[in-house]
Amino acid sequence: MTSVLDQSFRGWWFPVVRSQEIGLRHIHRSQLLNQELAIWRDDGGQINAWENRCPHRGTRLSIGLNTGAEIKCQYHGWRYASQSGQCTFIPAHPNMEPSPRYCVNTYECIEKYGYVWVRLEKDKDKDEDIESLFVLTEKLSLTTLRSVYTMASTTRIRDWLINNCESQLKVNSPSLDCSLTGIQQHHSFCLEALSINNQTEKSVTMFIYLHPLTDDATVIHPLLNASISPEIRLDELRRYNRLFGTIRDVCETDNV
Amino acid sequence: MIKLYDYELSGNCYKLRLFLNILNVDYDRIPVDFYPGREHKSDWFLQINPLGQLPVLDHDGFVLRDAQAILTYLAAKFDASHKWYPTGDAEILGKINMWLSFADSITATASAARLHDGLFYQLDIEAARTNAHSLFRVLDEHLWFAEEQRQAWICTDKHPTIADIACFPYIMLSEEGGISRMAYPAICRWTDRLREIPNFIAMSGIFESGS
Ligand SMILES: N[C@@H](CCC(=O)N[C@@H](CS)C(=O)NCC(=O)O)C(=O)O
Ligand code: FES
Repeated sequence: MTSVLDQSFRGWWFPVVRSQEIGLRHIHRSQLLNQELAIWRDDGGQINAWENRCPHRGTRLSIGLNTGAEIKCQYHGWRYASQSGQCTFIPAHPNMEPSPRYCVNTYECIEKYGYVWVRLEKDKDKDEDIESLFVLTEKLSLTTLRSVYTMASTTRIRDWLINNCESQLKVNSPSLDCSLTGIQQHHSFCLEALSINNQTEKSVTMFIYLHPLTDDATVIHPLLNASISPEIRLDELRRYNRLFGTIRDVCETDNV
Repeated sequence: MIKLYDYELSGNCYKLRLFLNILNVDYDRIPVDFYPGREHKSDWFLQINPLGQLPVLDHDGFVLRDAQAILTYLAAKFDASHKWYPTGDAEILGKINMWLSFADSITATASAARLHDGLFYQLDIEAARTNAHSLFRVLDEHLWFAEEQRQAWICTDKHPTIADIACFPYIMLSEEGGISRMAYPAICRWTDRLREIPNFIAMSGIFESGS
């Protein structure tokens, strides 16, 4: 069994968080393939995905301050510029220009389909056009649902979705009013499924992105291939949240 | 005059210092040497609170224990706007009290884990952490759906209530008990908002900003 920490996946693009959750002056703390991340937006709207580590003494940058143009570390106040990650100011040496060595490790990131996507390394052999790496190539109307944090490995969740979900979901949660069928795998971290509303019998396709935090923790990012009208938006969001909450609970309990 | 029996590193004491500061109410701090002195179990303190717990408030001889009870008292007494604890609104009052009780469960789990790690209390640390995570999961989901409805706070849209104050400290201190907040992004956004409240004050382990 390949570990999610397999180095080759560092060249893959992963959705890490819904774009709209990276609000003004916030710093979102995350992880990808065991790498801690600090994700933030400057006041110009540019997104940053940084190693969550201050080059000075290693403090997590996510406990720092987003000033709108820089991140200021909570500990000794060193400041790092949006995009470059370069240190711009060291309070203990206000007249010194900070050395270029004092630069945060930054990662490539883009915003697409309602998510912030990150890859930890460029794939040297095949430097593909970003577009070609995504499953969704056409312009679709999409709805990002609530991402569900799960204490189970990505392999565990993927295997359960592919092998057991269709037959066992109802057994595990008889009161669920929707189900998933026709689950197919696009690649190791992206599945496609048909979600069926048991009452109306209407079905919608959805993409299920698996985002490995660590070897045994995963975020499930469900992306609906449809728009939801405002009147039923809240109910629908709750319905899908229950669905993926159930999947989370099952994958966490029988974690073998 | 208001006297607060207080311990600097206690999250339950801090929530009262924070709220008193927000309301701009003057008070005297009476420091109780919780650790290592165990003064909260001393004879003189047990006369004030037979449970041997901090915090306790004494307002001109009216003595009250329990941080959540004290928050309701302070709000009803000193908040002229009636926004922190809207005594005239049955529904909101019910919701606030539901979350005040939730805050005490956070004390029993996340705060207990911190006492274990920081002050070497003997307890089932795995259970404390697991139960804290279950509570955080519930709150994160609640806050995510609140945001979807443009509701910034635990019980209310625009103005925070004492439920927000009550839940805040031991969530912010959770990492000191080995409880990561990485899996609770909606909680992190809410703690950002909370620190923007005018007259917000910090304590050791809780910064003015950052998640
Ligand atoms: N329900 C009480 C709990 C207070 C509490 O647990 N206080 C801690 C200090 S933060 C304490 O005094 N613990 C000692 C003990 O319980 O014996 C409240 O909210 O005030
Ligand atoms: S650790 Fe960040 S400035 Fe010192």
